[in-house]
Amino acid sequence: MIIHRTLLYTLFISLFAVAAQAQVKKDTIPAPVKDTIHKALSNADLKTQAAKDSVSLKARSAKDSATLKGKSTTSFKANSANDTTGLKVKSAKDAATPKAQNANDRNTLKASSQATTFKANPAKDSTSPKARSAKDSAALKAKPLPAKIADSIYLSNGGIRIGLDISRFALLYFQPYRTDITVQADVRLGQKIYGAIETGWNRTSHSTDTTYSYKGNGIYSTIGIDYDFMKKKETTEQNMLYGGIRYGFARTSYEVSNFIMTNDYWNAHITGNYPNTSVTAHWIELVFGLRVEAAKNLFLGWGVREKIMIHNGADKSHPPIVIPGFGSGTKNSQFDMTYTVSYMLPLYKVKVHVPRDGKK
Amino acid sequence: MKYIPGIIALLLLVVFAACEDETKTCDQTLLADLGINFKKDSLNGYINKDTTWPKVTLCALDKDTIISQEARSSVYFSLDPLLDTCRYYLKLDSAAVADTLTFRYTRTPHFVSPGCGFATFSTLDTVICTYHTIDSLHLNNREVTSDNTQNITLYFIY
Repeated sequence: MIIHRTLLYTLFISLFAVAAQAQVKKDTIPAPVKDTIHKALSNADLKTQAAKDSVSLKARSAKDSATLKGKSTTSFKANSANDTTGLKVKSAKDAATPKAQNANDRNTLKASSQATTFKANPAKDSTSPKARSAKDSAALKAKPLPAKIADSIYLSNGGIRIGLDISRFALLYFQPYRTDITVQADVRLGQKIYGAIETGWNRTSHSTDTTYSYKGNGIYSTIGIDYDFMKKKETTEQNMLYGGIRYGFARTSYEVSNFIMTNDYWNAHITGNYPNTSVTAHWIELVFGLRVEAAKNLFLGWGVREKIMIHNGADKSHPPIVIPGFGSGTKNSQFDMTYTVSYMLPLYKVKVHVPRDGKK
Repeated sequence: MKYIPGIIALLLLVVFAACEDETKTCDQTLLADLGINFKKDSLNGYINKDTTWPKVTLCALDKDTIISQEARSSVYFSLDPLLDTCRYYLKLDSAAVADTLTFRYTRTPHFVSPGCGFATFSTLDTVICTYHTIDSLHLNNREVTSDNTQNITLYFIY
């Protein structure tokens, strides 16, 4: 009983030791070193080596057939053991009935050696294992193992992406008094950083019989950066999940051609007007959005924005209804949403660095 | 995946907030009234408490009555939007002698909101009153706007 247990434990321990050794071997032999050996044997060397191999194999198969004709099973076994591939299986089969199958064996061996030659020709290095291991050890000694496995780098499209904010046209339905046109552009500055610029024009016209008539128009520009948070699954992927910050600047001129104020107690009906006034405004935008490549270099994207006014040069007694690019002229902060169709002009390539551990 | 309905709802909310038509509705008052509150001065000015007069009558001179014999601790009224001066008649009690308040001010048309339009805001320059029932007058805030500020405090001793 004790002997059985001891044997079982020994078997488990030996199996574990073999598995651990195999794992250690797998871990310690790095891919670049393997590549280097293959590279050394490739091209002209590989062809020469394959030609040599085929010659030696043919010669060896001829020898084998001669031995089979004249010698016993033992000598046949010894010869076949020296053969590199496939021969062992064949020779074992042959060993069962060597004398009766001598003629057949010769043919089979020829065929198998030919097959081996075909296999060896394209890529395999069929030098003897001892020689190969010597080569490997020499290569390992000559080139020390790299301390860190190199990260992969690929080239991705970079260029100018020009787009139109089509949500401004939809806005005309909700806010019929304003007309906006907005053009966006961004340029890839780095792996994840994009420089963004936006410019637009606004016209506002509102008129009622009882309160006031207003007309205004102006232009604006924003400039800032976007950071792409998306982890790319493919090297060609250009979708973006981005957050960014912008500085906005607008100049608008507006006038109130007439306004009416009434007071029932004093029976007053007052009319007046404000002449054309030009003002400037500055603000900061916090942007978050998504941009998807719907067709080759054609992007669709939406974004939400929080705009915070820094300075509004308008007089508090009659501010503009709309500040181009910002929105309401009577508010200090404003939420906005954009939907952009854009096209990228690929002008250059950007190096994208992907660490080996998968973190981008 | 389970957050998608929430994200869509949030986006819709943002869309509605961003697309709000400000010119459609007037959500603020256009009344820019001057406010006066009443205080009783006890112990030679050391204790001042809000007081309510039982029968307050208020009107601009030669105009309709705004308040007629009502119990009030404060009154609100508008200044003449056509002129830079106006006078009000204030009687605090049926037994008390009435006082007259004279206001001098500058007027400014003020844009309240895109939905409401313009209202007249004023800046008080001078306030003069008679002292039949009123003991003293204190000007708290010169700007007469639509934010219901009590611009003047009237002190009484009784």
